[in-house]
Amino acid sequence: MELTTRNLKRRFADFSFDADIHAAEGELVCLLGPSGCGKTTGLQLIAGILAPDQGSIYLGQREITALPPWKRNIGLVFQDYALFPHMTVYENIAYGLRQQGASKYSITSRVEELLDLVELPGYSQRRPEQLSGGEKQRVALARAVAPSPALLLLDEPLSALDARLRTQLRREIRNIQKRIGLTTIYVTHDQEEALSLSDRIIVMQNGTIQQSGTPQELYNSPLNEFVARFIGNSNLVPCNTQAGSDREVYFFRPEDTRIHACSTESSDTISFQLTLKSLEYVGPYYILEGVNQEYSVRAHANEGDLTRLHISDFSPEDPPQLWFCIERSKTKIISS
Amino acid sequence: MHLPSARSWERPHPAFLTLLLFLALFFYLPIGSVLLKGFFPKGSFDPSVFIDTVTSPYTLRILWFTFFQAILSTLFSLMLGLPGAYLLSMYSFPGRKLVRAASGVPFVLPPILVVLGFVIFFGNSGLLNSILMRLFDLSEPPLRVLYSLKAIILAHGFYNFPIALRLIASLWQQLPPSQEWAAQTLGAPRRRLFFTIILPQLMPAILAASALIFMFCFTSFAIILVLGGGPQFTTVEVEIYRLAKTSFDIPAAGALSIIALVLTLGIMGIYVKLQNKMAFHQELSSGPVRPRSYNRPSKTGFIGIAVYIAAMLMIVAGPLVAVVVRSLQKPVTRAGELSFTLEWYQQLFSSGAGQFGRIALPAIRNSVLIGILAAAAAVVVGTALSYLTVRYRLKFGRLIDTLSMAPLAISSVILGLGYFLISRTIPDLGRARIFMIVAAHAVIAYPFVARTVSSVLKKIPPSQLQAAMLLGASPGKVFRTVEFPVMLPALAAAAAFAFAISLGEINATLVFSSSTVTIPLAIYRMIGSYNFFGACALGTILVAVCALAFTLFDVSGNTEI
Amino acid sequence: MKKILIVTTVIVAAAIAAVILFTPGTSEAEGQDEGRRTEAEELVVYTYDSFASDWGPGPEISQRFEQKYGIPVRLQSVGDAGQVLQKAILEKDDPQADILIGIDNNLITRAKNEDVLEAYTSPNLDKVPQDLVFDPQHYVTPYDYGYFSIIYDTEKIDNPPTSLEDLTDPRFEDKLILMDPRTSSPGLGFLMWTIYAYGDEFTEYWDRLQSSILTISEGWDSGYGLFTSGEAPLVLSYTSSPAYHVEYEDSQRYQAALFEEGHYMQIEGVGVVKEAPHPEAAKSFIDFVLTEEFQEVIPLTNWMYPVLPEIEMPKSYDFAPQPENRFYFEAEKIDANRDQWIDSWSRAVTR
Repeated sequence: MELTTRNLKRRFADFSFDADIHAAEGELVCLLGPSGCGKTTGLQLIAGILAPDQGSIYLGQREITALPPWKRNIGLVFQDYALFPHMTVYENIAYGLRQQGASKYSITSRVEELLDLVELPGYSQRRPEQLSGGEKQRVALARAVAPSPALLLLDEPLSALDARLRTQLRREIRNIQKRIGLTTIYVTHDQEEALSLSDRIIVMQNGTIQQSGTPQELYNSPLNEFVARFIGNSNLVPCNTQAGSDREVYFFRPEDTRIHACSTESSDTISFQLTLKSLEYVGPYYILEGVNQEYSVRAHANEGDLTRLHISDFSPEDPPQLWFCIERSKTKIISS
Repeated sequence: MHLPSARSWERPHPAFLTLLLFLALFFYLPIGSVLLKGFFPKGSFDPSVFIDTVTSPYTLRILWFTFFQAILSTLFSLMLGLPGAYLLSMYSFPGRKLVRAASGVPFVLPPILVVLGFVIFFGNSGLLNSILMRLFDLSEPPLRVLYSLKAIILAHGFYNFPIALRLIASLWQQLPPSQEWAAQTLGAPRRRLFFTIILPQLMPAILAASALIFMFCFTSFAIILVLGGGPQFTTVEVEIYRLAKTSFDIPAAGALSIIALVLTLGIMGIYVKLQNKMAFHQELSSGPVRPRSYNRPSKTGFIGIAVYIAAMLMIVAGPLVAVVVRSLQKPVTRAGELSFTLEWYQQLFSSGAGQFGRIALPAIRNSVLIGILAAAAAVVVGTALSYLTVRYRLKFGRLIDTLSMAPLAISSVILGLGYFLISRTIPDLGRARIFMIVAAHAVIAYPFVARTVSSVLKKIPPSQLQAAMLLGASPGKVFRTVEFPVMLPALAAAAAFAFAISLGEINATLVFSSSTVTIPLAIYRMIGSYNFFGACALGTILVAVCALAFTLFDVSGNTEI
Repeated sequence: MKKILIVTTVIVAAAIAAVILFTPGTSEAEGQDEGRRTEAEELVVYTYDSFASDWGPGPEISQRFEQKYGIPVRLQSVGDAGQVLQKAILEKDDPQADILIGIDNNLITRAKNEDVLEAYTSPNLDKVPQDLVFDPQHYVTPYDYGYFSIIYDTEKIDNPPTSLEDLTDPRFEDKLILMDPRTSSPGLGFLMWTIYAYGDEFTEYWDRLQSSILTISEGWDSGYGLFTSGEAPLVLSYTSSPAYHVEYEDSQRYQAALFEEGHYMQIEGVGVVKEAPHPEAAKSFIDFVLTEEFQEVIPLTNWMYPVLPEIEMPKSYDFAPQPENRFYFEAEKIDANRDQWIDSWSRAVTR
């Protein structure tokens, strides 16, 4: 169901949340930001664990601002799984169904169905302490989805798991979400997770929204330095053009940056002469970092580039001066 | 369900034998020397005394009443403690730390001061009644709580609710808030959330508290007689006291103690079984912490909190404050009007001939020293014992667990008597006497530590221990680096209670060695020479020492409870 | 974490050190072992707590005895009077004490049966009124006595009870605090009083008394505490209690009610331990007990009447009236019936 908030605000002693979150029907929206940015607060406000100071929350056409959590019909999954340790897997998943007063028969078949969905058939009589982290999170997901909520909230669900499991599970979550067509808000601090999962991403900082849009929009056209730095790798070089006014920076990606031995400055290219600081091999390409006193710029290069520039035997004691060049069409001037 | 024990393959370290030696020497030997007289009244086996006692309808009646009042009192203490535990775990409010420290205080008061405090506060001419009489212009006291079963239950609640409060709160705080939120978003309103998620997980602490409270109420004595209004409320302890001290009939006292012990241990057995069934491994949460300041009580919540705090003020603070107030008063007119004075405190601290300082100062010093040592000993013994029963799969683990509660079920009069009998066989006791008192107090207090520690120990998942051991830590190191830090808050709380138990203990000390003056003993002596006000002053000091201890322990435990 | 362990260790170590360094000599009559080693002639006296305490007669009396006879006295308080006897019984094979103080008419028969005392007739015993000598064989010599009595609060009671029977009057409903005979000696004394007055019908008397009783406490301490807190205007105590309030609080508020049928007595005695380590000194002590030097200390420290009639009583004892009629049960009778009496009483009051 569609989620809309209007004018949502909540103040704390040292922090205030002031952001509106929107998710269209069936959409997966990521709340992305560093820890302490307010993304979890946003989730708790939506779930009803926290009450807002002002503003309203709508789920579909219904206003739920004043409803307690147990009347909102929202599913919630936590980083620490929050499985009930005194119940079996079956009882955990059945918990929400029981609150709805479902019949025993329908509960049993629903639990079986969900265990199949999260690929844990036959686990119903196990206890949480007998499960691995990944299994626990699958059970938690099944439990949250069981009562067919109108909205699913996931609070950093994968950050307690190891890297491989994380990629695998995030794909599964996305598949399940798409299959049920469940509107979902997904909180994470991992930009890669956000880019790979989301229909839309909302980047937050200090309790406010910095930018919201599709992964592509955010990657290609960050609105400000914070978003640019947070999503992907980026070069940010101060513009010297307008001294005195608000500081502005050139933004461009390392993969678009070319390196030359001499300046190629022209009407459609910008060049920076920098001292080569490091040369790093990452597999498909090399990453070169050039610095001066004020800033640094990274560029991707291949074997051929290295030979061409005679820097294959780069030594930090005698660093060469190189020109880092970028086409104007691939840079953006953004405020910092 | 059997818990997978991390060290079931391992045999207990021989060092645990010292523990058994301690218990044998300072508990089973003295107690056995008295109890066996129940079967060997004249040195040879003769079960007639025992059989007579078992079959007497009088014995059965007082046994029944003893159980009845202990169960009622336990339920009432839980009722008082649970909401407090909720408040302490959920909300931050001004004075929270103070409430926590003060909540341990009732525990330390010797029964005589509890009785006096209750009378001064609830009595016919007590504070509460005189206020009500003045407010509503009544000629007769409107509240008649005392001298009834109600008063017994009330006073036991006053005494024991701190156990419920602190044990439950220390567990409650560890419940990850995410579980609550999960349950709520799954559609469980507050009440159902409490009964399906919170309560089942609090059961280990609730059971532990119930067992302790039950035992304390089972051997309660002065409170039952005086506040109950007389002999119609007779408990086993009164009868044991009479047989041992008025009738000199130690065989009969032994026989009665055996019966009481067997029955209470039966109850403890059931309890241990239940507790094992209900304990489950709860991973200590790594998830979101409860944002305390987030919790804004709702309107009904506010009313609930206000009602609870008012009830606490009545039942707990009232009698306590009454004692403190009385210590600052002296009668000035013949009609008994009172004025403010510090005279009693001056008397306590001046040590001229005939002044109370001659007894009060050594008493304070003795009490504090004995208390520290007894608490230390109780913590070591209790921790070792709970470790033994939780971490090793022993053949008679459950039996040992049950038996470890025995000191609580034993009348302290019998314990004192046992020590007395044993000490007789050691010719040069001298200074060791004070260490024997320490041992007696440690024996009385260690079950408390063991209960508290066990409930935490059972919550540490074996995977954590295995992980630590695979990382190369020896069992000793695992204890120091993994288990001990987790247990520390519980240990600190238990140590504070052990200290308080020792500070307030009177019966065993009195029977065993009345020449070592402790604070409660000094209080009795002052009352014995008509100085009730001075006794209240010394009682206030006792309360202050105890509150200080609870504050320090809370701080050193570096914990919320 | 380490810090906590270190701090704890230091505290515990300090406490142990403090116990070892400071405790001997601080508590009265400690250090049994030291006395043994020195073999010095020293009179060892077992007595009850309040007698030995700083404001009891003990300290003053030991000092006076030592001055007179040059023999130091070591007072050892061993709880209540019952425990004094109990300890002596337990040490029968190897007596440690010379003197037992506090053997009253409730305990004397048991003391005799256990054979822990030695009879001694002091030449000074002639000066004691005959009816106070409760042990005709002189195993125990009386040193003080008192009367159980109902004390009333003049602020609340205008016409005090005049007899045991008057105590059952409806005007005293819920106004009386008694003590339990199973756990307290005044409680036992009052029970004896009613048995002396009513004989076999004493349980009927207790039935009638029931409505006047507010509560029955386990000991005198809490009962009297309730009374002075204003909880009830009548309490079981001793006739000498009012004297205390006059002496120390300058208050005549509390008075003893004299009963027509007379008052039951408690007489406390002192005896020489059989095979005492210092039998001669012990006998001197018994003689000393019946001198003015000992007797005059009693009224204001032990709050009992001295057995020598010639002792001049303090002014406050004007408020501690001596009843005309006084009585007590023979020791043998008490011992033969006590348990049965208490059982009948228990049944009567729990009905």
